[in-house]
Amino acid sequence: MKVSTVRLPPPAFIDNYENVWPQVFNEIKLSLDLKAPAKVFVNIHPQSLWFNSIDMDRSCKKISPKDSFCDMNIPFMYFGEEQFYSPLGAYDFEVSPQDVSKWFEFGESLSSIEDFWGNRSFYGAKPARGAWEVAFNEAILREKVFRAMELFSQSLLKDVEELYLSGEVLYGYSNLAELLLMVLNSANVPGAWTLFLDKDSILGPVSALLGVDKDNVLSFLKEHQFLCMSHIFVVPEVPRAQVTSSDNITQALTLKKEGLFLVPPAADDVEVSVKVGKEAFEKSLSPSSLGIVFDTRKRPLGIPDSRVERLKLRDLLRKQISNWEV
Amino acid sequence: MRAVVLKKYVYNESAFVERQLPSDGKIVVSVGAKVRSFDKLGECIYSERSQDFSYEGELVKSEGELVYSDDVIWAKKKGPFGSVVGRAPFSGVIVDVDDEKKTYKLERKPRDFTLISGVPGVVEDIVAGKSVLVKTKALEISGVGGKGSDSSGEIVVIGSYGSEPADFSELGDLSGKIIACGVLSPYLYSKAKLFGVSGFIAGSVSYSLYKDLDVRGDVPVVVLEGFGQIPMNPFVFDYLKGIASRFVVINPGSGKAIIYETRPLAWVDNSAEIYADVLEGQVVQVFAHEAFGLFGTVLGAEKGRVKVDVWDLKKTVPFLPGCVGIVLSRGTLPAPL
Repeated sequence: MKVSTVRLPPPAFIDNYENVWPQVFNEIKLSLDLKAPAKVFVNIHPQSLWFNSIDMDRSCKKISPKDSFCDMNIPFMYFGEEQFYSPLGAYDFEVSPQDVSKWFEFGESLSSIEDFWGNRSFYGAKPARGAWEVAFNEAILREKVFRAMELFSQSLLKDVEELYLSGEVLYGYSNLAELLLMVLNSANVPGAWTLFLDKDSILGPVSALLGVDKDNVLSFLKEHQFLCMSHIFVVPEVPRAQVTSSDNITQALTLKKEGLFLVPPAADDVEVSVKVGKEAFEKSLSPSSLGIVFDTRKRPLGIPDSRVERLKLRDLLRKQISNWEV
Repeated sequence: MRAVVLKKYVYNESAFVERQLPSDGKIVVSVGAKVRSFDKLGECIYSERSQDFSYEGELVKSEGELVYSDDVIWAKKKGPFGSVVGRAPFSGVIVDVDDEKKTYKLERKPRDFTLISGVPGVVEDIVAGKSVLVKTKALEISGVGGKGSDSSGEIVVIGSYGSEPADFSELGDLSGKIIACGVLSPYLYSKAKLFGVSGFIAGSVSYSLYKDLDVRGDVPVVVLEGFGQIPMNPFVFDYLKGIASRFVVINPGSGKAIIYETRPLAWVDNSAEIYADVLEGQVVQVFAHEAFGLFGTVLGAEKGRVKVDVWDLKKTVPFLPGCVGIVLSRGTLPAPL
C-alpha cells in the first residue's frame, strides 16, 4: 500500500477554484505514480467545505469517516484534526488555544498562540518546521490524547488489552517516548495494554474500503504490522512484578515507590507476572520498541493547575525516560 | 516539485454585487438597467444603531437634546487652568443618561438614505424594497475571513503594507470610507469606529480582536492574510494605493473585497490550477511559524525544499513545498522592497 498526502487549498478560497476533484485526483495519481484505478473511494467528512467539490463519476464513491470507522472492530483511537474516531463512535475535539497554551513548552503569550491557532485553522495544518511548531503540534496532541483517554476510561480501556493509535495528527510522528508519556499521563484507570502505532498511516485510507471488502481489509491490517510501541502496566497499587526472558532468566522488579519503571526492549518474547494485592496475572509479551513500562503513580494523577508546575512535572518524567532508546 | 496554488486574486468577468438598503424602502431601478458607480438604486429612511458612551465630569448637554457631530457633550476640570472635554462622534439625540454610572446613549437621528450602485454594471435581479443585484466586472481579492455585514465606500489606504499608521493624524475624515491597512490594531479599530468608518480591508488583525467582533454591530472587516502581524501582500497594498478613492465593496461573509475593473490586471493569474510546479520567480506565501504569512520570491528548488527569498526577513530560507502556497505565478515579478 502507498500513502501520500495531497494538501487541499485553504477552504477560505474554495469559491475561486473550478473542477476541484479531477485536479486533486490527478495530483494523487501523480504523487503515487498510479494509473487510473478501477474504483475510487473518498473518505471525507460530510461537513467539510470540500464535500460538494468532490464531484465524481460513477467509479467513485464518497464515504464519511464515521461510517467507515464504525465497521472497524479493533480497539483503535484515530486522532483527526477536528474529529476523533474509535469503535465506540465519532466525537468532535473542540480544542481551544487555551488548551494548547496549557501544554505548550515555550514561554509564549496566549495572544501569539491564538494568532498561530487562528492561522492554522484557516490555512490548515502544515508540516512542522522547527522546535516551536513541533512543540505546538505536541501540545495539541497532548490535549487530544488526554481527552480521548478520559472519554474511554470507563469503557474502551477497561475492555481491551491492545490500543492502536492512528490519525492525521500522528502521521509522521516519531517521538515515541513522548507519545507513550502522553498516554501514561492520561490513563486514569488501572490496566495493562499493548500500544501500537500506525506508523505508515494506513488505518485512515483503508477504513474507506471496509464497507466494500471488510475481509480483505482486515486481513491486510493483520499482515501489515503496526509498530508495537510498548507494553504498559498502569498499576497504582505498587505491585510485585517479575520478568522472565526466553532463556529463563528471571528478573524481579523493585517497584517500591510511585513512578515509572522501565524494562528495556528485549529481542525475544518475555513472560511477565504481576501481583497486585491478592490478584496475580501473567502475560507473554512480544518485543516492542520501548520495552515494558510499569506506571505505579497513584490515580487520578494530580495534574497541577499552574502551567509552571505542570511543565516541571513533565520535565521530571522526561528525565526518567531520558535513557529510553527509540 | 509541486505546491498548492493559492487563488487569492481572481478577475471575474461576471462578478455579482448585492446592494442592500439598510431598512425597507424603495428600489428605483429595474432589471436590465445599465448603472454607473454613483447611480441611485434605491432609498429609505434609516436610523443607524444607537451607541452607549461613558462620560467624565459633567454633561454640558441635557437628556433629549439634539447634538451634532463634534459638539462638546461633557467637560471635566483638569487642574486650575484647563479641562478635558468629550465630543459627539456623530449627530444624534442624548437619551438614557445615568448620572451614577456616568453613561448616556446617543441615538442616531433617522435620515434619508440613498443606495448607490458602487460599481458600473447591469441590474441582474431585484428584491422589491430591499436589494439589487448588479452584474459587473471586478477584481475579487479573497481573504482568509471576515466579520460583519456587507459594506461599501471609497477606499482610503493608510500606513504601510506591514504596519498600522504611526501618525493617526493622517486618518482625517474617514466617515463612510473603506480603510485598507497592513495591520489592524485594536487601537486603530476603536479610533476608526469613532470616526464612522464603513469597513476595513486589513492584511492582518489579532485573533483576539477578530473573535470579539460582533457580526452585526461592529465595523465590518475583511482579513486578507491572517492573524497576528502579517503584512498585506505588498503588490495588493500598492494596487489599493493606486486606486485610492475608488468605490469598493466588501463582503465579509465570503471574506472578499470586490473592486470594479474594466480589464484583467497583469499580475492576476486567472488559470484554474490548484497545483502547479514550483518555478523560479513565482511569488509564494509562507506557512512556517518563523515567517508565517510572509511573501517571497522562489529562487529555486533543491533537495526537496523550495528556496524562498522572504522579502520581510531579507534572507533566503528553504521550506518544504507543503509550507508554501503559490500566490502569483507570472514569474517575472520583482521583489517590491
